[in-house]
Amino acid sequence: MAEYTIVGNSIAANSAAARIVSLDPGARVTLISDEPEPYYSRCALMYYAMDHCCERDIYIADKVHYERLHAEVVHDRVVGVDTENHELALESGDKRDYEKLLLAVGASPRRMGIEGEDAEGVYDFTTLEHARKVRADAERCERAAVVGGGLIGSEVAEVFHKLGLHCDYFVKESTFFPAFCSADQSRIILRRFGECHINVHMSRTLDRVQAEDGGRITAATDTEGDRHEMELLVRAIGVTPRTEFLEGSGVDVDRGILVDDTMRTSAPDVWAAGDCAEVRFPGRESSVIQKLWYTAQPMGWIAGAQMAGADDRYEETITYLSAMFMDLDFAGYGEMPAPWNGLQEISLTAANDVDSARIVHDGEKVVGITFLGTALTKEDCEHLVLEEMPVETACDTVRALYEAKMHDRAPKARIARRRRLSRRPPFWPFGRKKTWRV
Amino acid sequence: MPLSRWPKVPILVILLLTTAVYLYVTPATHPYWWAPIIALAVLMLALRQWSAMPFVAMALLVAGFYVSKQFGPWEFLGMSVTFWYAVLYTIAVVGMGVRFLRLYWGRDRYMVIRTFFNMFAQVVIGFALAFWLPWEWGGGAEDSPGNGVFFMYYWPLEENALVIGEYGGYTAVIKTFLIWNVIAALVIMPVLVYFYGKRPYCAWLCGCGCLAETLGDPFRRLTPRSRLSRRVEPVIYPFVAAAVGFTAWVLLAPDSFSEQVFATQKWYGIIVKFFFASFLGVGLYTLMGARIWCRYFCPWAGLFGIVAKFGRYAIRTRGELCIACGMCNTYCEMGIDIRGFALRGEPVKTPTCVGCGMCIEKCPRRVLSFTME
Repeated sequence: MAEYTIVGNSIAANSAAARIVSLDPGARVTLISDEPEPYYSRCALMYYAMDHCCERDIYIADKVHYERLHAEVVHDRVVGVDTENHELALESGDKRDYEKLLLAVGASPRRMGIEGEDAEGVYDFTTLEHARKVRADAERCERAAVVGGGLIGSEVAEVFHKLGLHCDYFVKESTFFPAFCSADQSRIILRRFGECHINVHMSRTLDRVQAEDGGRITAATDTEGDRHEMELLVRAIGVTPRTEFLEGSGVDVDRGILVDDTMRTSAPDVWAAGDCAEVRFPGRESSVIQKLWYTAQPMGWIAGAQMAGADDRYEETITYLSAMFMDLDFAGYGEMPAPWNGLQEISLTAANDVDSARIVHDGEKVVGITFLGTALTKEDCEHLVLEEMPVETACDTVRALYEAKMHDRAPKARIARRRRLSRRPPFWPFGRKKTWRV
Repeated sequence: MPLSRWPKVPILVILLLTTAVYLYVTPATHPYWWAPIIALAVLMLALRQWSAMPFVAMALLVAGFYVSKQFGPWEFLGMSVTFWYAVLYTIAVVGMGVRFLRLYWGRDRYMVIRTFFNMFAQVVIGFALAFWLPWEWGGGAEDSPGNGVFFMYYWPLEENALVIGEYGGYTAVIKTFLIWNVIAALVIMPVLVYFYGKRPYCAWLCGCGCLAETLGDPFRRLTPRSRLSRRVEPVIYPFVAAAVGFTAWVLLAPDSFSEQVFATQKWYGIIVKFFFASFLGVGLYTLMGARIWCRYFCPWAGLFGIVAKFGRYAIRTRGELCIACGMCNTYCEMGIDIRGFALRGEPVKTPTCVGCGMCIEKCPRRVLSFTME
């Protein structure tokens, strides 16, 4: 029987609370969150923004969710932690004691740091509030733009495409998503964007945002000096762990909140999990920040166990990443960024010029693999990477996969599917689809 | 008040019921049969809810059609109301089936094959076989579908299926159909459901399912999926009891041709088949999604849901890949909390799942797949 305080209300916080309650049935949990909404799926924001799913379905918390977790949700923001007196300072001016504290505060979107960035109509895309604003604005706008060559950036570009907006897409790097994609994969994805009438501007980012008198964005100038008109701009240039409220608190912070493999921070009775945590595995020099839904869940789970007294350890599992670029499946396993520590890459592309794989190896063994289009199953890939298969064997496996697909009807089917995507939606006689939002 | 805040479902259900009663007491030839529609238009104008008008109009048209079919027999071009009803039904299934195929062509092979089968079943079994099977083979007259429907509707959805001989006299054809019905309902269907769940019947063959999967597809998001809606699902079991009890009563009664048997059959037809299956089932498409009948009232679904629950069919979930986006819940016609199963890492195994496969198609991370345990 103890009291637990968790700052945050997303996947890490809620899985920690679930773990705490399963180990300590008499626990009392307090969740402090600066978002007014109950626990929702952040990955679904894209589908919500393009009206593919209803708002009620992206909430993971139903009416009894917090009852089941013996949790109370406080809508407030934590502005300071006093680890000596076990006290939290809240934005509303209140002080709150804690017995055991978990920081699952997540990460905040990065800013571009350019002139006019605070104009109305410039949004981030990390919370439900942002998605609501983007969706509401998209209904009355015609020209939109996205900055950022990552997963979120491409998702937002897809949202604008599906909503029928003219979309400019600025990517700072010269290839798309360079940390995970080979040059071939980047080319295929960019061709796909082109087919969907998204204007991709590579090697460019924005220089200056122009706003009208009312403060609303009207145009932006890119680094090449070209002017682009826009009524809506989404910046998706990455996130940084939220650590600013920990200044002078005694909790060690580097890039994120430093934790070991028990998710414990340097301060007593304080743990951290999720996007904000920087994990230092014992016996290793480098540290990792994993900013993924898939990794926040086990982190929260481990932190919850540790807080409730069990001795679970966070093991660095094989990283798994999956996404979809305009109906093209993308999946990655293991270590993906190639130019690391002398790693090399092999790029394999199928004859249909859609399916493509990048195998990252250290000269002889596979350490990571990414797929665009057709992918091996997750189990097969784990097998490939964990058993450190020789590169030739891995290449043969992938080639065999593509060979098999060529005799299948699937490639033809996918091409038809891509054509369909760039067409207008089917005829529906009763006005715009939004009329049956529920 | 914005549309999302407006309690439209209860209001419109009440309106539907009022209209049904009005049309029932007013013959279709009455000069003011259109009065409730005008009244509704005025109401819409007062509420400034023009965007809801097409849905209400469609619900009213469907409901009105069922009422006039049931209570006001009429003819058009020498063909009976039942015939024109079947024509409309088939056009709806084929037309909206083509729309569905355009959406999923080259995207999901299961959807395409299933929809082709839906269209085939409705055109060949539901329409051609029902009306054009020769009379001496047990086919229908032009004013009523004959024994052909027994290839599509099985006991206990067709509550007469096991007792037709009692009514028609023991001709050889009737006997053949009786044998088929008994084998289909008591042997083939339980075995299919044990291995494949309600999928082969509810999503592929059944006429109600064909309409729900094609005409009902745009309305998937309207499906009730609150905790309350899941908690009232057991109302299906009284309907199962009624259908099974009716059959047992007729088979066990000393005199199967008694007045009571005919009266019971008539009222079963009016209450269950007309009101719940047709009037509410299809009338609520535009308000509460396409599977209200299948989820809450259908005796077949209720009975074989129990078999499916203990059978081997399930939807496998790979919870470690789930991003909890909730698309599966949005598009599930039966209001199953699929995401809940996925987050717990359990297979989706419920008495309600009809196996339409839409959750599998919509999942952006390939979490779900059909499986046989």
